[in-house]
Amino acid sequence: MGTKRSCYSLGEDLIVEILSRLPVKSLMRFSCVSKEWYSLTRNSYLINIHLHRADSNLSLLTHEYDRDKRFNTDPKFGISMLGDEAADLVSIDLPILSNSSKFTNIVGSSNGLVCLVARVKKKRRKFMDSAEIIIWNPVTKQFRSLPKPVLEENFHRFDRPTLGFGFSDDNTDDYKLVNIFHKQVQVFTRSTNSWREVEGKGYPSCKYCYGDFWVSLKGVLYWSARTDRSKGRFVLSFNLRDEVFHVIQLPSGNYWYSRLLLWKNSLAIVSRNQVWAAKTDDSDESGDNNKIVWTKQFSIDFSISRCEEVFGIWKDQVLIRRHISRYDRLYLYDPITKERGKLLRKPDEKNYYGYGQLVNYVESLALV
Amino acid sequence: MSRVFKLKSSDNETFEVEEAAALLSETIKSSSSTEITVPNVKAEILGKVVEWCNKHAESEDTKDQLIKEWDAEFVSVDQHVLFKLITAADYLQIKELVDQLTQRVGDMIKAKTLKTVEMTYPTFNVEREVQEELKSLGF
Repeated sequence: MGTKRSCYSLGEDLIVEILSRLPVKSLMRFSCVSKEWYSLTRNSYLINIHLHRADSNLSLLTHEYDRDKRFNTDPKFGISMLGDEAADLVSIDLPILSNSSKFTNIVGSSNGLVCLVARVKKKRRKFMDSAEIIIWNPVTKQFRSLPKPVLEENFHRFDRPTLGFGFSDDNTDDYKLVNIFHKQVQVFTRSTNSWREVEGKGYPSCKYCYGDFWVSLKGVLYWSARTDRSKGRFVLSFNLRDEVFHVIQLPSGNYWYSRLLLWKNSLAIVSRNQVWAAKTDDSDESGDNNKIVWTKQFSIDFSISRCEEVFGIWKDQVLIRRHISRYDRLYLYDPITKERGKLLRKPDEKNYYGYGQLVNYVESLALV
Repeated sequence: MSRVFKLKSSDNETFEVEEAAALLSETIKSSSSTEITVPNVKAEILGKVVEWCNKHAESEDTKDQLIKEWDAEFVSVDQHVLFKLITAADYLQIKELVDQLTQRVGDMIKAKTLKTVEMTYPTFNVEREVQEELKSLGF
């Protein structure tokens, strides 16, 4: 087989058309071939088209292991990718940080980028002092540490900021982070590589509010939040485009768990064994077009109700977490057929004990 | 009554195409004349494009299994024929054909190694030793 060369060179547009159909791993191999290939894989036109063709059914699943209660060390954090088939749980290598920081949680995942927080355990340190914010692309393996926001001083050292990450629109060039700490709201944009204070319009009038579970949908971040007054839970949303907050009340009379979910492209929440989803109420005549109506979507018949709970949604099925004596296991439940799937393979680490987060993910070439 | 379009290849051969097939091309659709010369595309290639258009104009449901099989056969051609078809389909702006052809190239690349990619894209200067070295780094 000789070096049969095609005497046809396709224009860049057509080459981008072809490349946009290849998986990221293939494109990363080509980026090493020459300077032209390298710059092609960083071309925002290709990155955008490639992202739109990508399979958005993937999820990242975090778990913890090696927690030594006696010495009170931070647990280690592992991450896997849940692919097209539930049995496809693939372990992913986390970035290696130069200091001895350990990852603690995922703050956001959008357009192929994942925002992680890592901490160096130091006693008597305020949260942001010992934390590092990392933007990571798991498939191109690029990552970088972002400059940290400067927080006001006069608060209790255990107070934690609420962080969020996402893209304000479909442009993969510019991502944003939001940091909420007491009444101080700051936004970071990739293009400026810096934090700026914002008005925080629509932020609830409480002294301190902290969001734990989050989801992001169409350029809006949602947190399951509680205030210092401990007056129950609500949902706090932040629109990355206009940088405005909204408070979404939850229907009274139910006991709402803190976990937020995405169910068929809507915000969803769990109450014991029921999943409820939010829809904007178009029929509301008061003119407030942000009125949200919650409706129950389905109930789950837990077999051992005290040891099982809703963990997340994956491809229109529910991932249920079952607590066994030393660790958690997950299995899939179909709300329509009510069938239960097999238990998912548990993480390989010997001292694995529990799952952390399940976040939506898509593979892309997006640059950190 | 349906119009007949005349497509002329770069080597002066003319193909007559019925309106339904011809209008699959955005270029023809937006052209004021029914006689279109396709530069840099020889008769052998233009003929195949016309064949694709005729097939797709006569089939009502493009999701039909039979036409999918026909399409799969159609794109199973030599690399350089494939590239020439892409260029022709791109000039004529036949989106679905460009999609099928580029998907085929993508599938072929996925299965191949770096070495073969070098052979199909001669516009880039490639250092084989560097490739080998980088490959061994796991990328």
